[in-house]
Amino acid sequence: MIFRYFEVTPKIIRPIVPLILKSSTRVAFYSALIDSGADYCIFGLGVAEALDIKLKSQNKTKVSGVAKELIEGFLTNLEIRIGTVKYETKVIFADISDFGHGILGQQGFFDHFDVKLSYQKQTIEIEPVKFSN
Amino acid sequence: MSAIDMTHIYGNRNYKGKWVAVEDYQTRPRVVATGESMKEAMKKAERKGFKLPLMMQVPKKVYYFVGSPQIIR
Repeated sequence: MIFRYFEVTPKIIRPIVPLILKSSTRVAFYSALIDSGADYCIFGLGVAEALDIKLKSQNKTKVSGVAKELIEGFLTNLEIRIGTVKYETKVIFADISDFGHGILGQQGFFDHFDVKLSYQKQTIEIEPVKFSN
Repeated sequence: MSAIDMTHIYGNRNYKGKWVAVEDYQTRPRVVATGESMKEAMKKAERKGFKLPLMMQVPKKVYYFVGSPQIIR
């Protein structure tokens, strides 16, 4: 599957891909940044609200970025569909509202796809990983 | 192939800090509904007949991102 980068300002292009998020009751079409340095996939709290997902206090965790500031997050199972590939995985919902997109990290994205980013072509190629039993 | 131009959405001051529902995102992205929350923007878009628009939150200001969040147990 080939996607195109998003140009968010004349100086910034980002590898953002569209994805379908599905809870037991709701579906949303959302976009998320591919970030190989992120351990998990992270989506904003507003996404959980829109999907009617109840965040449970026993699933609380902490998330840190390069700024070292810890933010609270909630580990939750979620169904993700990218292109024709659909799977359920653990993601974190946290307050990332200043950023604007979700984040696709190692667990929940890179463990499902081989990824090739071309800044020059401004394209994102993702290939589903074939799981062996 | 070039990047999808979203600069007119990110640069529009009416959308700063808001959730937007975007149609035709691959060809000519255009905002069909806005809201203070994703839920609100989705509902407004749905009422206008847009069943599954691309939902984005436009930041108040676009900063350079050097994120890489890590989970701390």
